[in-house]
Amino acid sequence: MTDTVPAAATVAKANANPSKSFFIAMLTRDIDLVDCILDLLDNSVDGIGEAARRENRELPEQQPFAGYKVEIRFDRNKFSIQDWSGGIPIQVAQDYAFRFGRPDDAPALNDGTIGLYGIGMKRAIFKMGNVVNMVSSTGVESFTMDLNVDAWRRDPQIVEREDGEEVMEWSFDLNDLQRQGTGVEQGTTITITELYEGIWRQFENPVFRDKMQMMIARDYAFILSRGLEVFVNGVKIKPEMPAFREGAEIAPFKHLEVVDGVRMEITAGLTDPPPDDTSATARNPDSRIYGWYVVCNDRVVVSGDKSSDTGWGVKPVPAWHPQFIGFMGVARFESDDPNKLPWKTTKRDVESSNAFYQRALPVMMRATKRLTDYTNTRRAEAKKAKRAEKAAEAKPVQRVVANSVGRLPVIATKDLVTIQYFRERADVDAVAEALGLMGSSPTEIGIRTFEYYLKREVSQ
Amino acid sequence: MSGRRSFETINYMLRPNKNVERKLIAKTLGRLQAAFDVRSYRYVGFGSMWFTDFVLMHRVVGISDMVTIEKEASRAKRVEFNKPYACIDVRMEKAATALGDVLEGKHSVTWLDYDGPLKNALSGDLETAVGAMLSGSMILVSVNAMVEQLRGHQLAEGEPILSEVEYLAEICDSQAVKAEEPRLTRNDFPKLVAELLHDRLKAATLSMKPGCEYRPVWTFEYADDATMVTVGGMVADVTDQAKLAECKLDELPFASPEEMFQIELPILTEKEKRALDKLLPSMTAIDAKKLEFELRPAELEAYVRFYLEYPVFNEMAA
Repeated sequence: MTDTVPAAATVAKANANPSKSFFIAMLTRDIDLVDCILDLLDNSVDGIGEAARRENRELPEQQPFAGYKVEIRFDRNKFSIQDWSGGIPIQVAQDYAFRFGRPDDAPALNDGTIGLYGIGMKRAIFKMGNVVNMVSSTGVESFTMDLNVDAWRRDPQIVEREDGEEVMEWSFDLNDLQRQGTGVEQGTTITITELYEGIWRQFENPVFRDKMQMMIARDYAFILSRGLEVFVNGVKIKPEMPAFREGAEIAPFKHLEVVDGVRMEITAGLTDPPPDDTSATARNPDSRIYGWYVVCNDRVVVSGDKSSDTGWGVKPVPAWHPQFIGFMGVARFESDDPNKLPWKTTKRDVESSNAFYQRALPVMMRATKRLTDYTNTRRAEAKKAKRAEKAAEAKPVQRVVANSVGRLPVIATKDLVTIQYFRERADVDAVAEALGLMGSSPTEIGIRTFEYYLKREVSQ
Repeated sequence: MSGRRSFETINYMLRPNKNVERKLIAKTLGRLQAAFDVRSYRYVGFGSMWFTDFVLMHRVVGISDMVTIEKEASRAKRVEFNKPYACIDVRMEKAATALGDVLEGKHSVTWLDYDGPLKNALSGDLETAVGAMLSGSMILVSVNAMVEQLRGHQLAEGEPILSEVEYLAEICDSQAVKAEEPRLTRNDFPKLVAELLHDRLKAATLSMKPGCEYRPVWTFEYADDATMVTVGGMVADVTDQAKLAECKLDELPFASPEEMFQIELPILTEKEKRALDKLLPSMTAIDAKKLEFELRPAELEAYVRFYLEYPVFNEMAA
């Protein structure tokens, strides 16, 4: 006879509840401070559309954000972001806005929102400081939320049920609820104090302030150009829109396609003439701005990318090289359903396994290849090419005509080799003087001395 | 441009304003001795062939661990020949690489005296220096602050001439600096240069020295020929910040963390200097009109302030 062990003993539950400390650490680990702030800015932008939907208002097609502004301020002691967008309704705050991640039963995302994972605000708060004050008003109802992160973290908010099982009941307290006729101005203000040392050191740093302005100018270029005003410590940010040279001999390539509710628009061309000298000691313009931009619902996800994510170094496209300075490509994806778009949770990285992105990438790579080939062939007639490039005017990306195959100056292809050598500057200067070319580049001196020898000493 | 360097055209010692600036810096360091063992610090500078600052640091401050950095290989023997003390080590190397080794693991006073345009100070030397410094170390930077240095530059041959503000944004690698365009004038540019340099030192400290902050101490403007600006301060952790506060540098009028402190001394003959010294010190103001020679009231005031530091130059038989 064998004993049968009661069924109750063969199954049990292992507690897998996360600890708050772990959660906070995980949430804030992989995100940069600038990206956190951009996440908050995304919420302000989405608030404009959400309020319009609630109120059955149509936003103007071209300038949907006209009249809206966001003010970001920071210093050693305090960070704040204030918007005059729609505010958060109390019910939304209670059910969704403070959840970690967007619950499956949350209302569908639509109309091209940019905030999609439901973690941006919490992540930003946890990243920056210990004391948070938030005030939000829809113009009709309003609430405040005061949070001491450290106190919240130490309170496990786990309730033990009668059967001995633990149930998590994480929550934040909402106060000052006004359900009708609030006196609080419409919009949301988040203020964070008791900043962490790693954060205030960045806020104090003049380089960070500069970087913050630059990132908003670039990553928010499309949104700013549609009417939103963003101020950083009182300075209004001007959009920096990608622009392409267009003229008689030169025009960008543009491809447009709509697949399964996703609009893909790929533009590539020259934004500046490529440099003449690409050696390690050459003084070339900052190459940060060149390369590929991937834009999802008007939000720039990667900018000036020179990695394999956008096809660089993936055959037959060469890896990035300073010779390609001047190249710019913009891949824009738009959809009412943001889940379809190729972005990662930080919105600072492209999700290259996304099906729509995989469809776009070969088109992007073909465009890159054509332009990188051109930077080789143009060397044969660099001066002619440069003239054509400079004669062309810079046109912002949204004004580039759709489905254009692009134009590039025609350069007769010859079999070319590069000659490179080093000589003492004083000698080169002396040769330049003898040639009557004082102040010319060493490249020019090299060409002239070669031509001199070729003409005199080599029978042709 | 003749291609001559400033040290070949002017004897460094014959600059009364620069001379006084050095003495004021030495005085500040003397005051710091109360809380920091400055005498045991290493002094790092660009001694060139004159070593004027080195002489002062050794004689007045009492520092005897010194390194001069010299990048011109063709002058190696001259620099070695001219060094006034045995305790000066000559490093024939570019500052960008030398500063790292020279400053690491040793408290220091470093003076990056560029004697050239602002651009020279923005090449990364400051960042290398700050990144290698120990808390409690001092750094000083001097550059030419004439607004004319911004004119007539282009990104490359054949490219258009950049506007002054575009060139400034280019060398500073900052778009935000474009908002400063109204200050690109002869009178306002020195102050802007001082702010930009203090900002650089602050940024370098915040991003490269965890736990430390930059505490500005000096902001000088002076002109012997070209207008120059010198800024400097301390890279300090919390302990050193408290020690620095104990030294009460704010009691020294010339230790000015933000406001520009102007040194505007007149060039005086030896006879004039002796005549003025005879009236000093004086509890009451001296009337410029009552002097036997012409001196503007501002010049007189500057002299009265610094008569003890004012250098005496004599021709000597070789």
